[in-house]
Amino acid sequence: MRELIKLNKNYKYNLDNKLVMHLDPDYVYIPIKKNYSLLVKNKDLVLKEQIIMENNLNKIISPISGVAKEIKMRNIAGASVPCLVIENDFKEKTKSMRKKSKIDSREALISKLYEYYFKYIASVLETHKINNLVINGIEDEPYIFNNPFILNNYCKEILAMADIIADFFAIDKIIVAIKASDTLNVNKCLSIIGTYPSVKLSLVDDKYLLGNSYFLKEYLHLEELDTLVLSAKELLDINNAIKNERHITESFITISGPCIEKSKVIKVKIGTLFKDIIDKNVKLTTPNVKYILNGLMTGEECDIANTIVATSTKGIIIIPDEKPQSEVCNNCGLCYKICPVKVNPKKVMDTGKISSNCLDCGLCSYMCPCHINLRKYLRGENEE
Amino acid sequence: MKSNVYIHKTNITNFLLKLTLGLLVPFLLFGLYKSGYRVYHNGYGNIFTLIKPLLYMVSAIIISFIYAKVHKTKFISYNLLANILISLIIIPETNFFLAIFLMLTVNVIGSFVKLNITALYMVILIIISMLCQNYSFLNIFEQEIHHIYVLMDYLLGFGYGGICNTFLIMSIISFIVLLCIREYKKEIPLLAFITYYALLLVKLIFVRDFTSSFFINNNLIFAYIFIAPLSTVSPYAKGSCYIYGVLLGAITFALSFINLDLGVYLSILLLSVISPKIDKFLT
Repeated sequence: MRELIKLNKNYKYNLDNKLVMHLDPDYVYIPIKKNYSLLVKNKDLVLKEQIIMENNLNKIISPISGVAKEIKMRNIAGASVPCLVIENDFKEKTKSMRKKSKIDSREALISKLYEYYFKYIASVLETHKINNLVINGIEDEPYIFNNPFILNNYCKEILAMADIIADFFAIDKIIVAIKASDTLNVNKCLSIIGTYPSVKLSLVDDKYLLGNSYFLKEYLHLEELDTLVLSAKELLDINNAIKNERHITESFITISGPCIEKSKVIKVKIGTLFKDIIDKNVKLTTPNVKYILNGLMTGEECDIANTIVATSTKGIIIIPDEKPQSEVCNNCGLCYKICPVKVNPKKVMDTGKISSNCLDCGLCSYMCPCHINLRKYLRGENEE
Repeated sequence: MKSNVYIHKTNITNFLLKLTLGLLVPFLLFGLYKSGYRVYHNGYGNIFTLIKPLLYMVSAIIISFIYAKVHKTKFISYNLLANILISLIIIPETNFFLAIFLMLTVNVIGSFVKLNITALYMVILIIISMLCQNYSFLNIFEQEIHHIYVLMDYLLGFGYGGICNTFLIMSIISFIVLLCIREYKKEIPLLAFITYYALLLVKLIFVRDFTSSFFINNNLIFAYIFIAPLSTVSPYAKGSCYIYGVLLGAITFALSFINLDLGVYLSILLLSVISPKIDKFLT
């Protein structure tokens, strides 16, 4: 078992326990990926969940109904990409009434998973004999609360879905992994868990990277090949797809940090501009702030006026705009000692040779007493 | 977009630095007693002799302050620690101005070449002292009375060594305290001590030559605990620290046939120069 550490949480925050909805943006921005053909033209009417882009393997659907507009450049996961703008008509019109099909066999379940683009999960269930299903209710990033929040708000749905999967695939054990410090979820799970005899609650230490499925399996002493780890969000999405025939058009994001009145977990439409979400839902308490997309450990500074919510977006942390001050390396070796996959950040910094093993977890930079931005070197971004 | 990590662990290196500096205070106080008060009280020196260790320390702090200003670095740094270590290990009867001039010189050299300036200082000073035939690690008063010292005197910190580094019990206590700090490169002194004393034992068995100064040498003990593991000029990888420690013990032992004090500092100096190569080779 490798050594993992608890992170210092220097910033104070005030978390709103109620789920906030922001499902009526004026515009959504859908990234046009490479090798995808665009199926709508300017001024075309678009229905919710209508396929608007596709290639041989995947289809991209519209999260809202409205009118297709021009193509604009927007930031997504650190890169500027062309996006199709859809103006919302606020009618949520869909193509047809959904028919709820009955799932009565493992084949039917797998085919549904493929249909709703849970391809990885479907292929694992299809090809491996899974003995343990782990529900991951942990969020690694400090100040991001999505998974614990989703588990708390949709605990029944998540456990019911996990139980269905376990039934069809003869999975012996369902483990709900939550942090021991997460008392809200501990109480919530304990009150529901009795309904499901195969579900066990596992309380894990408040240590960084235990939210990562690889480290979580190692921590719980579970075999790599016969264990499937699904996050609370993934199980909720699967539940929505299987039971309600709904595609993923919404996501949960956290807006938190010391510079806002209340930190919130917000349910938003995928493709919404962050500026719209923040303007409508967040009250800043400090004038000079910077916005960190996806967390303080693995995130990056972003311009909210150009950044949109994607399926992988975790949220934005708003922190004071202070210039990072770094010093010359003092050779302490802490970056190398702490690396969970034994990448040598100092060597990467000195030689410029990037290691493919790096997880981009940010622990090396976190530990560095000289505050050197080692992540920049490990990501090959050292050219200013 | 700019990727970075926006939270940091509490600066443990700063803690290690401050702790090490704190552990050196008793050495200064004892040095003021041993090389200042005792010499002055017994009529071997003037008022300047009384405060000489303190003056060295103040000079080291001023030089470090200037260094920090020139290089735009933090004042509490490894450079400050290195200079304070220099101020504690100076040969007792060194000319004050020569000592300060040398301190300035090694700081200038250290700005251009990455090496252990404390070890460099001592190597130069010992060579100059040897050339001037003024080489002795005993102060003027102890030169008269050292023949009456017993083991307990050595343990209490009297006898052979630099101006303020002879407080043997404090060295042992400091080592125990530092061993408990995760960021202290403990592998270096541990392996160096094991290697040196193992080789000394082999020598004792085969040659049957017991020289007490080879076993209890304040310069060696102090240098292994405080000077060799100086973070900026020692390897960073654990494996490299093991190699560094073993080599340090072995080279010191080999050079002890010429001169043990010179051997200690010269081996640290040589290894500080090649430590990046050790890291490169092993990582």
